[in-house]
Amino acid sequence: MNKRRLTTVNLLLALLALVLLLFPMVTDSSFVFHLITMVFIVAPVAMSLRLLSYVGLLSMAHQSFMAIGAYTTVILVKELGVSFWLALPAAGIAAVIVALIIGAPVLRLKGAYFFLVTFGFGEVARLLFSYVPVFGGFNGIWGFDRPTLGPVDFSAPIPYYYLALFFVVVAVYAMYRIHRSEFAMRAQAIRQCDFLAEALGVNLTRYRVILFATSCLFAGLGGALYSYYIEYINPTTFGFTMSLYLLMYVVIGGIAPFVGPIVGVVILRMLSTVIGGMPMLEPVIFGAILLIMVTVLPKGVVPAVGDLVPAVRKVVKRRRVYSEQPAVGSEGSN
Amino acid sequence: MLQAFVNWIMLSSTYTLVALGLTLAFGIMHIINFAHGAVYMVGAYALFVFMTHFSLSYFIAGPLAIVLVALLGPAIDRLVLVRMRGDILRVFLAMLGLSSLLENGMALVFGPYAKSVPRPFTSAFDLPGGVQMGWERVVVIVVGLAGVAALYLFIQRTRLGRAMRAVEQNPAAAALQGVSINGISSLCMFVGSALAALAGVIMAPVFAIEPYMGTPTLMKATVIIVLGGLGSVPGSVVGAFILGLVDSAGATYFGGPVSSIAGFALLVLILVVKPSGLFGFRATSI
Repeated sequence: MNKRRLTTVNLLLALLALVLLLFPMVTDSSFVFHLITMVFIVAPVAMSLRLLSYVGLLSMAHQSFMAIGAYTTVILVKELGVSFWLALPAAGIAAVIVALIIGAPVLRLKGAYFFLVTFGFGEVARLLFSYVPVFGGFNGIWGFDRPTLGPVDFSAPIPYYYLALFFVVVAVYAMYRIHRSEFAMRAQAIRQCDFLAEALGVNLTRYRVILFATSCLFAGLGGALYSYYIEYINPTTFGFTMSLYLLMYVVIGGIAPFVGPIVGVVILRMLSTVIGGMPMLEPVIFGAILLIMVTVLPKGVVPAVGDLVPAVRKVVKRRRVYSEQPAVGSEGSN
Repeated sequence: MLQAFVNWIMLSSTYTLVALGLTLAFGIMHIINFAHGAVYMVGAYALFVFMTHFSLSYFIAGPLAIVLVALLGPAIDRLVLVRMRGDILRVFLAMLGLSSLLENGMALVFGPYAKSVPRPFTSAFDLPGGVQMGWERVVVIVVGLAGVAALYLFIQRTRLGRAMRAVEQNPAAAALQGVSINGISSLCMFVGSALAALAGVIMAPVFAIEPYMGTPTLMKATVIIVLGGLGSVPGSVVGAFILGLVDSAGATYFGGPVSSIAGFALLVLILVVKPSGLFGFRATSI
């Protein structure tokens, strides 16, 4: 039976792949393109944030790592004339380096304290990007063009779509491998009972550092792709609002390791296009949604939907029992 | 030099008020109230509205603003926090959402640019040493410290204060003695919000107000309560004065962003060296 399930999943995945690849040929709507490309760029960042929860960490600095990756790429290309295709991996490397520097002293702290530090770091990073002149100050940097690769010009939406698609596929695959790895299972065990793990001689910090660096890698890459997509970068792009959104993608989507953040990104991005991207109205609505969701549906959309199914089944079953039993009494098997 | 000293006392006074609310919330309810900065901001804006749209005098608008905004606290507690007692993560996320809602909502209504509150005092005076000082700053110092003293008296000398201390030390035992945990939580939020609103009201005439003024203040308050020891009232006061010193010196001699970076460095230092802060965890009031 295991083999049969696997084949069905494979078939579905193949179908999905086909749809995603052929998609640009079918639609013409720039609106849809924009939405989907955005989803592809941001989803890996959301997934990488979710990754941190494997070791029980939450970071408010993820948007800063996006900024680090973005500024690295933009400055390398614009000021130093490096090719985008080299600068992009450099963004990831820069993010990892900073993650290791910050992480080393800080990751050994308990979750809540680590969180406070990331909060502070996010603010400091924003200030650094605002005041240090090479980053272009408050106005940021603009006027950098999207790259070309041979005959392909990525200024057009379709090629960038494929770039983003490539990114999300790589990210999902990486997350999948991590999730299934022994490393991840040990990390989960650590999170569930960390002092037991430590008593058994497990080096908590090492796991946290590795996971944190990996997570920031994707944040950096995502940041670079994001900046090149909107062809603009300034310190507010990756400011507090972005950190709120990143958290929301994970929280709204739910606990599920892959589908959760992706669903969260899709829902919120769609909502964002509906609202029209007004700079102040959007965070108000999003803030309200976060507040309400956390109060009412703390597990997120995906698990909530998952919970809904058995609940619906129960109701249906009960109705059927009532309609079949003419006699008085007996409540049914529940 | 003297100016820096005066600024230090003034800043510390404000920071103390905000930090106290935060540390109480942590000590008694075990939450990080992320919306605290937003309450501070709402207090300042409430004062602004009362003074401009209702043309009330500062001395009437101020207390009115404080009382009204203080009621936000228990409202938040009853509507939201009561459903997530003990779950720091959920509370944090909810407060984050609330803070975004409030800050950006204010920006929508009042515009994202800074505004100034009408001056409540028309004369300034000169202190020896060439220091310019308006009465507003005196108010900040005097009222701020009075607020701290009032809080101290409340916690130490009243029945309700004793109930709060009981809940902080041992909630189960307190409940057995007939203390309502929900009631004390609401009270704690009321006091905290009142202090934050007070801080907003007294600071509003000194600096301009803008919708996002809450966040940097919240950050500083967080550094303070960690520095002083989470849940510790004397710790918050001491921490506020230390950070106030860093901020004031940083601003006078180095410029704005340096003080934030110094604050962050201080935070990391404390957490790495002595995470329980100067006065340790849950050191109840002196």
